[in-house]
Amino acid sequence: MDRFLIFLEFLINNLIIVSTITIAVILTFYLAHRAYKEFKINYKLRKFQQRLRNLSTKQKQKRAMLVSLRVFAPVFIVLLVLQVTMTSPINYESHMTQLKKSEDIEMIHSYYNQKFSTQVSLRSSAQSATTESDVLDTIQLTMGETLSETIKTDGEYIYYLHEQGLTVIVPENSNNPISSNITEPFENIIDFEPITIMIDDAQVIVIGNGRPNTMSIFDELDEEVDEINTYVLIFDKSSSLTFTESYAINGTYQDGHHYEENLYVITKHDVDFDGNPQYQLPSVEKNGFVSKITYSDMYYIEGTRPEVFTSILHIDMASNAISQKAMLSDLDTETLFVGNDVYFISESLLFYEATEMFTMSDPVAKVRTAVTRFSTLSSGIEYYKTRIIDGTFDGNMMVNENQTELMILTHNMSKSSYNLHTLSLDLNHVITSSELNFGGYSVKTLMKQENHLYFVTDESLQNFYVLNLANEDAELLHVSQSYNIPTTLAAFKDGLFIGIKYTNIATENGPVDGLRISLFDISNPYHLEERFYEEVHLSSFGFSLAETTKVNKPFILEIEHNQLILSITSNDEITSLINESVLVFNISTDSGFATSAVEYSTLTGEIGNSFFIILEGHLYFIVNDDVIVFEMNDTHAPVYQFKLE
Amino acid sequence: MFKLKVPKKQRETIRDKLKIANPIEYEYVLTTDKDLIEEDKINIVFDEEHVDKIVKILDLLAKGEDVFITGYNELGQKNIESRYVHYFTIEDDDVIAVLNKYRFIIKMKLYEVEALLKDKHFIRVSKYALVNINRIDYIKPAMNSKLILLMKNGDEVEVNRHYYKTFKETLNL
Repeated sequence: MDRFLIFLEFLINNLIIVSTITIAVILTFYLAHRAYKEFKINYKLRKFQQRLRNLSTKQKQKRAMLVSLRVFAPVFIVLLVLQVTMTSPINYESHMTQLKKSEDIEMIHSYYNQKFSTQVSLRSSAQSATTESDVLDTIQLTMGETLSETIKTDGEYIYYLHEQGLTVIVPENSNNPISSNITEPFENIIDFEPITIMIDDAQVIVIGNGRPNTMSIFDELDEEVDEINTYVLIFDKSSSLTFTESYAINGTYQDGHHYEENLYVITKHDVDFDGNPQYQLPSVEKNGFVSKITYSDMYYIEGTRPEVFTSILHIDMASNAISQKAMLSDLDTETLFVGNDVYFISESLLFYEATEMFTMSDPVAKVRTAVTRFSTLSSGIEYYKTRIIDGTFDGNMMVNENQTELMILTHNMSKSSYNLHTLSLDLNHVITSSELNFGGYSVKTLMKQENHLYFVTDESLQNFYVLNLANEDAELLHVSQSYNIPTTLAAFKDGLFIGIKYTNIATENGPVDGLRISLFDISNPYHLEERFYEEVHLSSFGFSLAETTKVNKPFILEIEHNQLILSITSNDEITSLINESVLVFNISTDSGFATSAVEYSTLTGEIGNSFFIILEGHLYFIVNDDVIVFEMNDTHAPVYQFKLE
Repeated sequence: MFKLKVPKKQRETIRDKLKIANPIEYEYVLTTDKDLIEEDKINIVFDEEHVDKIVKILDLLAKGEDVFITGYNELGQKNIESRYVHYFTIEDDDVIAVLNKYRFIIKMKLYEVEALLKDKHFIRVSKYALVNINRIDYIKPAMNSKLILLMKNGDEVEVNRHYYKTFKETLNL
């Protein structure tokens, strides 16, 4: 009975094989009918010839056997294919394995666990390599852009996504700026956690995590309901943001991408192998109807840890058609979107054979990086290719300006060096693979500017390196060594960059929290020149105990007005009052920075998320639920203030 | 054509010697016991000792007298006994008689040959072929309401769709 159920499950998940079996059965019936006709005709022929006293006629045995075999040939072939397919071992030689049945997941997990039992040390070392101490971001903001995922504008309205719903703000209307509060269908989702808003000309797309409130088809399938879902809610802009479509994908949201008419949502959920394997297959509920992924739409990439299902849901926004693929993959798999292609970068271990273990010292597995591409075709999202490169991926990857090459930096721990791999976007070719040595230190981050790639290492005295990509045999050049390498670089103008570094500032009373704002000149790519800098004591703003964190502290580089706008939080330990401040610097390429205006707004409560939006000549400073609107001129006078909820 | 009515213990031996099958329809009754004759049939009563002579009589009754056709090839002229011909076909406007190994040109029209061999179990299967039923080894049904006749010499002759119905009716297929 169990075997029958396994067979049924296999068939349900392999519709192509079911179609083939159906065709084979129909073909068998047709061939059987033809064989019957043939035997009948020849039997009658022999009878007729016997009546004519021609008794030499004998049945053609070979022909009869051939016809009989021919009848059952399709069934034999299908049975053979089924047998081979269902019992075939996982082929670990190829980079990708397309799953076929639930047993494949167990086999992969069992294989991996068996190999991994000797590899415990590898995980921790790999993790330490991916730990990010500091991030050097290159950010260029334009009008209307925010660094917030939950507050966005389309130039006309500001959309604010929160736990209770979506608030639409009309910035021009200072008397009644809240246009509408959309609560449906948010109220049906338990513990809704807002994640991101995506806006196009026709729709507002809201994505968040949560749990379903109502009985769903999951209950009927006797599966656990208490799982986190990722909700994709679509609102129509042409009809006052009418709620039009909802998609619930099991798993927590990882990443999303809206490109042309396509929306991609990446989710992850655990595969629990503690005892009996328990997992939900990736599924999507669209407007109440659940479609589960089939095993043939799931892939396992060689050497990756089978810890989670990473699902890609593709929604064609024009037709509302959906397609879903999934990978049994590493928890730390990272995603990169390039147009309508999705790249996954995972750690892939190459286990050495048992015989080799005796001849090798630690480690007995080689850490590699698997790059897997999924592409969007007319049929939806499809697996495209996997390429495995040497080294451990530690988060540094980028696509060149022409979108023809993918650059991935991997760390070779055994050699304490790095490899810069340049791959063609179709992953068919490794264009270059250069070994880079940073004197044994780890690369904290890299930045690309035209044909030059900049690296910063994580020494306390930071080193800045440059690589000329225009030259195939480019040498890695050490540019400078400084304590003042910024954590954030933002392109300004004329080859100049604004650098921001959150750091301790030395004072007479000892070091205090502060900011170092620098104007860097990288017009000569081999010389990083700090032209001007300004150090700011955060305690100068508001209360004496000022603090700032890199997290949630946005800034805007407003190039049109040559202004850098930052937010600063200070608090009073006794009263717990919190002061959120806006600090504006005027930037001169000749004389450096001048603090133009500092505005305070004393608020109480916990340190919250704060965001900026520049729209229609106004600066919107949003702290938690409070919005303070400033004029975007030299005075930065506050115009009005309102609450979002 | 022939029905054998003899006591059970003799039946198999005599049947083998007389080379007859067990027919559903028959015109002649062969018996060794005059009490077993059937009045509406032609009855041949014989003694077991004369089985060899009965074989010759049955051959004559079943096959009739042989018809000879004059055929030509590069070696000269030959009178061909019709029962040795597998089939007649038309090649380059010539009627060819195909035997086991040899082929002869027949200086007749195919319809004339057909008329001549009307009672000799030859059947027209296409505009270009006249086949000896006794020389058909196997019938392979083909697509499109056609039959392929595998002849005992290994040749294949197609039963045209136009002659398909007549062919099946004649052979009770």
